Amino acid sequence: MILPRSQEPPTAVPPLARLLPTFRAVYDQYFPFVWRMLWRLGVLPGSVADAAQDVFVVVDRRLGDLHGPELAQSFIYGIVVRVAGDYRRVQRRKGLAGTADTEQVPDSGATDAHQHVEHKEALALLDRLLDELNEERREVLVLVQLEEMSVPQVAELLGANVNTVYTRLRRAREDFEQALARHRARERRQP
Amino acid sequence: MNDMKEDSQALFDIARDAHEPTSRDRERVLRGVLARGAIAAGVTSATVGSAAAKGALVTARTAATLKILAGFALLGAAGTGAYRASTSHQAASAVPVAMPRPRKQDDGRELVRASERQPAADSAPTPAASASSNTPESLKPRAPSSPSASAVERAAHETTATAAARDESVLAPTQAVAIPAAPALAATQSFPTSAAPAAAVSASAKAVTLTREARALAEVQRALREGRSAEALAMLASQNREFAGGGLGQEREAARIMALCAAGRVAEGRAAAESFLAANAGSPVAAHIRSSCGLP
Repeated sequence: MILPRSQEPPTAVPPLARLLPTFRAVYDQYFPFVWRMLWRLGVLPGSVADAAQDVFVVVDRRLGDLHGPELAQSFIYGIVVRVAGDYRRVQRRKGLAGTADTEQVPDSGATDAHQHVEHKEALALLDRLLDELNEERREVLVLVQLEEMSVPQVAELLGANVNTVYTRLRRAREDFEQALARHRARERRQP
Repeated sequence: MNDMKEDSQALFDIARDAHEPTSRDRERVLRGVLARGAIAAGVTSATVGSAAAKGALVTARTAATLKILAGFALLGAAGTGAYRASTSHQAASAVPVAMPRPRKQDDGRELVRASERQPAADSAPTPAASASSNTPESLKPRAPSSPSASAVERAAHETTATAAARDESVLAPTQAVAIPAAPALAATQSFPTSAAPAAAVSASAKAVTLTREARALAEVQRALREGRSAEALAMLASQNREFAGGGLGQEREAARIMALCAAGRVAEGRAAAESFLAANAGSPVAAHIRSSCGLP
């Protein structure tokens, strides 16, 4: 069974809770995953809360369709992907894609002030580089590199063939390396 | 399996823990969902069963939102609002992403999104705001025939069963979700950001009550929409007792007037309407009360 990083597997639950997933239980379990994935799929920082709200409004209305933890995660992830796609499209239309600047990126938790700035810059750079990937490759890369899922887990989440996911991951890594190399080259030209 | 270069790997290492939500984020979004989902729709599904737990997180700020939403739902009950929150499962499943967002009332008062934004949010785009105008049209769910463009795009790209797997409708009803239900108390404790403990508890208790009150009123509004005016009146009488001194007394009185007139008790309705209008001339529902009771 796939679980988002840092989520504990469900422990024994009372029979009734097993039969009736409450919105609150689903929310508590999946909110961190939804939140992280919206960021990582390119929703701009200022819109993540709205996008998360959109995701859970849909989850709320479709609660009766959640069947089983594995399917629940796929179900929720599917909604996340669509909502993130909608937001990204609007961002692109407004010319805002990949413009997350260092002010907007979240606190990386670094204690040292210098490190703090470095981290923020790194996060902003990562956002920009991920924005250069196509959506399919981006999501696979993010799920593996940041959510730390295995390829079979990603395949299950996406309902995709494992080999397809391996291929996408390999290409995503290549794309990312190239984007980073281009960035470094620009940096060297304009220090 | 990891064959990324060190430079790339370092970026991911930094980012791995950087997008965790804070408890404030969690609370803010939950409040928004509560206001937009459960209350606006007036649902009675399993969702509502958890609303008490949700309510424990609602702060006084939400009270205003709930009140506005309740008032808004009344407009719908009067037969003038186009927005019939999708209580029907079909509507929700046909439009999984494009949810209607009540943003403005007739009088232009903004129906605030319950997500109080972080400072940075002000400069950020809100797709819904740009994708739909603030006319009543935007309050209707989008037509099922225009599915999310992203879903279409994605489907075109998928070569395997991915698209099908992403379509929630194909999920087989095999087993229920095994997720431990979080007790409301624990939820409250997880938000230490809210003021003093005593004040927080009191605010939470009020919010829980208001949530129940709003849900109860939503039931009345549904009864009104469905022409069950006598039943609506009975519910209102019971709610007036249960929530005496509550936050939605005015909304209940407005609903009672509409129910009276709808039930044919026009003289009674008009008398109540006149006192109501005298006391609440600026109420957003004033015009609807007048029209439902045939007043000038």
